[in-house]
Amino acid sequence: MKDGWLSSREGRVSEGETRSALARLLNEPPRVINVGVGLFAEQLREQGVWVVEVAWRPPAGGDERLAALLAALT
Amino acid sequence: MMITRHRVRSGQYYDSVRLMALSSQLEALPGVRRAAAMMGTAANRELLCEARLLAPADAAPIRPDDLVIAVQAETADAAEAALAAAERLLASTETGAGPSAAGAPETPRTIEAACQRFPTANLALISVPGPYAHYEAKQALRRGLHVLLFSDNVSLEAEIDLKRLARAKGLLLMGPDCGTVYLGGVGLGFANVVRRGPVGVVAASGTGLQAVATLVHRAGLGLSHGIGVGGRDLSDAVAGLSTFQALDALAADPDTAVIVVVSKPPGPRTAAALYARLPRLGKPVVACLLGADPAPARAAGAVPAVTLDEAAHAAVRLAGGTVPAEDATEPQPEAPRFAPGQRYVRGLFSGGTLAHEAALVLHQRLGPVWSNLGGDAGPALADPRASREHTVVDLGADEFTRGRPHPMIDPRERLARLHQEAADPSVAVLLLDVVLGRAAHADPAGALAPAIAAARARAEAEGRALPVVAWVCGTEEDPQRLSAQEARLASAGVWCCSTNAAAARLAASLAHLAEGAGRPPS
Repeated sequence: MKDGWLSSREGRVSEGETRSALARLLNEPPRVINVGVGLFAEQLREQGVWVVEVAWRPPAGGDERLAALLAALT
Repeated sequence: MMITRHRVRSGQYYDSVRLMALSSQLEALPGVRRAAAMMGTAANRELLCEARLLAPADAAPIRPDDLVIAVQAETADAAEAALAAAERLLASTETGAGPSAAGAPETPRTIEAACQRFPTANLALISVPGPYAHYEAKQALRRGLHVLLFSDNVSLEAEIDLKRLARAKGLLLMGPDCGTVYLGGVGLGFANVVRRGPVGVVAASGTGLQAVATLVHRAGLGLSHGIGVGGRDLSDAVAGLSTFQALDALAADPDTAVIVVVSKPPGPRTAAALYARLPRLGKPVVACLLGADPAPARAAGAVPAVTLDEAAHAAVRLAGGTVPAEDATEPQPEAPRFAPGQRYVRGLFSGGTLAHEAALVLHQRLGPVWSNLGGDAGPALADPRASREHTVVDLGADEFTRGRPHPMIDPRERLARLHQEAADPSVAVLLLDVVLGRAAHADPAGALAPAIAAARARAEAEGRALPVVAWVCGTEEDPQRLSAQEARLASAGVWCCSTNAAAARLAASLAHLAEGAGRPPS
């Protein structure tokens, strides 16, 4: 991984780093992880975009309240 | 005598678009009257019971991560054959669902696993059902990914939590309920095919962005980037966390010469912050804050735009392009033969911002417009499934999309509503949006046209005209092709206008004509 900004991703980042991460988002081809509707991944592939699909399943056996709790706790 | 059968596949998840396709394939089988394939969430179990495709006793043990396939058929054999066909069709989609990356040993099951295996990924596109979206988006942000959060039904608290985390990490959270994004030349989500160019857009909503993008394209220019931030971003609760990041990014972007901001009116504190920021961006700005007072935007040095087309055209002019002359080619239908009692406009929209814009235009000309749009758009319908007087409904709103695809992909909700409105003798005109582009329905006009033609014929037989007005949000380069879609609608008697606002103005004029026709001669 050569992307310098990712090394600081667990901590707060400076304003300069923010600009650089956003500038990269705008100026480099997106490399996408698709989670959910498969159609969106197909559409990106048609445009020649790098995309990987996550074989997603609802967490916590599909229990919505547990999933919300999980989000709050992580 | 109809036979109803169902099957449950435990612990198997499929997205709602795949399941919609499966339902349609099953309904096309001989002897099958109705079919539904849905995940077994509480809301979906309720829908299946209401539709009498599932008995409450059978629904009780089904879990949210179970897949339910239910069919109603003329014979038991036809029902069983359909269930067997469903198994075969699911097996064939399973084999096609793997990741595209060559040599991937196994499909990752979590964002974490995907990031470990593909560490150069920089963006997560998340469209899981709303209740799970917070968790997934948080996982993505923690791993350094920008997020496009397509999911709706995400709580305000979750949105604020995610946006604060994103900002702390120097990442952008686009959404929730973000339908459309353009990054460079790439369209993500519902995106029309438009050329690249000097106009950068920050939009609270997907269709607001799509409308500006297509109109800029039709005027010969294009988009540098289009960043969706979610409909609540400029509320005082969220305080523009994503909008301000996106504005700064576009201000620093060498490909962007003009910036357009599209949103509902911001909250008062956020509006003040926005107007203070605009002059510091160092680039011309067009502010299209639908329904807001234009004066503060003008005072901030921005060009205020009342409608989406005004915004697109202002941006084109600022970027040195030329806009089509004030359109003299808008349709001028001769006065339809209205029956007494026909008075109301009913707007059935797939795009939230297009619905909002239409409601504002209609309100100006006709008075109060009932809707499910919330905020300043007008009085709220008690039941969004039942219109009253002049009504505009956003069929892509949360209450219509739980457990089913967006109406830009799945036309069934709108077709049913169209039928309902056409049977109402107080309705004078129907107003629609038809949104093209990648990921949208392959032939939305083809799906709507037979229902429109049938509705008009029925009204005609009952002695009342039923004009239908539409705007097609699209380009010639879209897979569905703008001109082909407009021609298909015209063949069903639809008046297609050149902008959404023009369509709403025409609908209002027709309602005035209807009111005049219903008045007793003085």
